[in-house]
Amino acid sequence: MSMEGLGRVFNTVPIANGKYISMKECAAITFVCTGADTFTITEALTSGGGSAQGISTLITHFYQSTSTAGTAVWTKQTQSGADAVVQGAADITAIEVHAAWLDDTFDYVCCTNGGAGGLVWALTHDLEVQRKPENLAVLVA
Amino acid sequence: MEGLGRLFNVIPIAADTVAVYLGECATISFVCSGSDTYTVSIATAFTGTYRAGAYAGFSPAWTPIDHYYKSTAADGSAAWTRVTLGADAATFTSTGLMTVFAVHTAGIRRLVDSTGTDSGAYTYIKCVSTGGGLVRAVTHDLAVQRGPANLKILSA
Repeated sequence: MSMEGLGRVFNTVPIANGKYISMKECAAITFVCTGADTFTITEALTSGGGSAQGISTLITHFYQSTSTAGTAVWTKQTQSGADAVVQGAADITAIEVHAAWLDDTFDYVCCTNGGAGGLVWALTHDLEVQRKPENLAVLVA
Repeated sequence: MEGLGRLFNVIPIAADTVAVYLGECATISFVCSGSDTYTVSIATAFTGTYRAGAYAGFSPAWTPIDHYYKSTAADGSAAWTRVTLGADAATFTSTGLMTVFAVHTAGIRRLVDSTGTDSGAYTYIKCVSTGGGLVRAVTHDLAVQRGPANLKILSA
């Protein structure tokens, strides 16, 4: 295969808790979170979190698994629309956010844990342009 | 349809003892954080013997990695840089705080164990980090796109 998955299928930020990630070049981002915690999604105008605000009631479902090591299936969880997911038990929580959900000019999105130490890994996907990795725009800038 | 199951599947804690099934993807990318030495090995069964690149039964040796990408920040605030290995290998040491490398299954499935010990297809992989670097696995170029709840368990 001539082209990497990185830059063709996805870009990634492994340590993403509290980081405002650019969605200027992707249609969606999936936050893969581990740990029992509350994961809140906010949007902002800048990578520094300028004018940060919640994304209203847009998260109506997410997927969870009882194993961080991939030994269990994913199950769909539904909730009343919210800008956060409260994860009380499962080991992985996958939350997808679409760029189309963001308010006009709000190009950055952030997933922040509620203080219980939950880890956040971000994967941007459905990339607008496929590039080799070294030509990808820096995601948190 | 979700990105999960359409474009990729993931294991967030995938280092060392975690075996990942490759039977339903064309490629796996390991997203690692921490300057460390990363080594991949493969097996024909989930609980089988994981063979390293230099395993004598592989002729020629299995050396799936000729380059990787690193970044000086694990929080997404720096660009990716390509690093080309001096020689193809199944192990390498990265100085990046974030490292991504890919293994293509096409180069694995054709492997035959010349000793006859493992005659089946090699469809499981592990990535070991020597110094405790974190490893996340992303399987992509999926053979079949499924809703997440219908995905095969990756480490089973």
